[in-house]
Amino acid sequence: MTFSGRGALWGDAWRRFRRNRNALAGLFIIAVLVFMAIFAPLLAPQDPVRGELRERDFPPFWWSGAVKPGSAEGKAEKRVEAVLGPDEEAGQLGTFEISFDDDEEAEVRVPKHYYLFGTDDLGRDLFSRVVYGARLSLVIGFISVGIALLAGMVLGLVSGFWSGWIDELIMRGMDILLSIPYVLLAILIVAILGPSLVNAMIAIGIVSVPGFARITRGSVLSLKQSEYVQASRVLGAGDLHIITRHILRNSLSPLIVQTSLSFASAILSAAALGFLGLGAQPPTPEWGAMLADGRTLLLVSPWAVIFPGMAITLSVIGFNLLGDGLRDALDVRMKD
Amino acid sequence: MEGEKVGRYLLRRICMMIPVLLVLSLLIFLMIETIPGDPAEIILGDHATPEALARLRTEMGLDRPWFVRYGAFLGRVVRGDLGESLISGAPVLDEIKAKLAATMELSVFALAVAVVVGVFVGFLSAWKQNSLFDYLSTVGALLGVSMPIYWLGFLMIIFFSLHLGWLPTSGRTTATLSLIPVTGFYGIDALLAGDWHAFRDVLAHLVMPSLCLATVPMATIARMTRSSMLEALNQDYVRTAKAKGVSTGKIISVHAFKNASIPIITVLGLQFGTLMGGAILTESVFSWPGVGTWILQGIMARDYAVISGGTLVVSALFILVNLGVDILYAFLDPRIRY
Repeated sequence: MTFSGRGALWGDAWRRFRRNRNALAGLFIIAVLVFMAIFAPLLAPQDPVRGELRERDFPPFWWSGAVKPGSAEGKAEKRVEAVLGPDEEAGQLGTFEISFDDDEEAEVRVPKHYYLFGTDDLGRDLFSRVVYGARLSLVIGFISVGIALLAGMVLGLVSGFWSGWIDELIMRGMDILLSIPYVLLAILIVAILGPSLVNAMIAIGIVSVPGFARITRGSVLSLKQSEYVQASRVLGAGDLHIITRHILRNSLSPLIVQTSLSFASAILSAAALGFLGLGAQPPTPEWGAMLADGRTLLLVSPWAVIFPGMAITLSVIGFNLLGDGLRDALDVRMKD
Repeated sequence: MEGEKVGRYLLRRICMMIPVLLVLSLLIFLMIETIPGDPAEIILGDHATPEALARLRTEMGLDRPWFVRYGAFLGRVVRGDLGESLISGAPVLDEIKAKLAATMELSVFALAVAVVVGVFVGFLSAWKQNSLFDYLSTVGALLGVSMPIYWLGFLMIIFFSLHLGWLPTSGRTTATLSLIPVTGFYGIDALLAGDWHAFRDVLAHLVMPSLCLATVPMATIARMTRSSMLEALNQDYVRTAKAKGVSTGKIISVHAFKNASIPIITVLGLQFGTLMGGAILTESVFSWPGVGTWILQGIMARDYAVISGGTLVVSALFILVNLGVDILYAFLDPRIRY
């Protein structure tokens, strides 16, 4: 009976989830992300880390004014126009540019391949880098949210189940963590541990612990009073049995929702740390670090900034939509 | 009786700040401790004699256990001595004061934009629920909380500065502009000097950074306003007022909005932390010479006096603001229990 009851709960949730178009869209985005991460070596046409300098700063092949691979004629004029724009000045400066025409290498640069997202200033294919970046973002999400979920769950269980001074100690500790601005705390932890991708994950994990601890504690407190827990205790069940059998299982829903939403903020924070030079280090194809690479070339190659940022935004939207959808489907009323 | 309760609550909240600040200072102290290398060796150089090194270590207290040094560190911090910057050699506290004005100007402007636009959009969404506007603003709010704000900053620079040439890409003023800082808030300084040209220049530099910084709070406030307005509009007293024939405008302003404003104010307080974190990113994008850029430069140069002083001051400010919001909240909502 318990089994069919539990099955019905998840079945209900799934039926509600399926009717929610936003949630499905979120799930779809995440599916694409996971697909990209798993099959990155097959999907990426080029090496994500090594580039050819001759291939640097090429726009996506569909960009207006982009030179197609394999074409070699009429490039000189086009190039001048692309650089100077069709202003009056172009006439004067144009002659200057064209006088370098003998130097074919410098003047007419023709890409070797069709680049979907263009190339960066080191000649690396941005599409390949973005695809590999999906791997990193998911790994960052898993590890930092994993740290937060585990630590937060244990702390929340302990403080909710046994109450008293230990509860006071843990929750005040969480208050302290919450009273330092999120990004600043992450930066401080990275400054202590040293800038690297692993340390960024640890920092994000630590910063996300209080959310999980509070949610777990809240549901433990309400479940502790429930009749079936009381009944179980009367029947002689020990603390461990009650925690694993009754309390953990029934506080799953809010934790699942929080996990999805934390994934979103972990991806966002890791990218921010990478952007600030405190997370993944070059030449790692991490989206935030790629934005930092591309920032010096906003005028010349805006695509180096546009596509990594789009990848971050879409993944974060995916996890936010999924989280909101799960909240509705699992019927979780959350504070904050 | 009531007053005594409020007083006790305030006292408790203020006492709570002490352990928070202690833990924070311990974290920062540990950070300084983990710098590789012996400070005495760094100061005296490679050719120092062992005796000289030992003497300096004793002088600096490096031979004493860590908790004694932590105590000394705390003592200096309490006296307002945050050390000197390695880069500029100036006292950290003086530098923070100058940088803080720049960050404050940006944050205040951003928060104002976020509140005005956020409340307006959220309000209209709730009023015209399920309309096209409601749909668009919901999508916009989702985008706002999901987008990296530095990316939005770059997109704005590409479009408004590089493409259209309307707005300056970075900084607080044009380099050639001469403005005598009185308050440190350049907008106010320009007005005080009666210099309209300077005022326009300052405003032009503020537009993109403050919009960028305002994104997340704006989206959050819009969402919160929408949901709490919807909740208020469904209350019995609103229905009663409608049935009594009270005008729409009055229902909204007197009945619904007043009750919806409490959660909005709470969210507003929470946004201050977001703003502080966002300021670091925004300042980095627009080369805004504020606390964020300054701390970041400190991290890059391993200037620990700057990192520790900066984080300590910013966090203390954040904690104070939160306290202020909590107190305000307690006064606004009579239902709150202490």
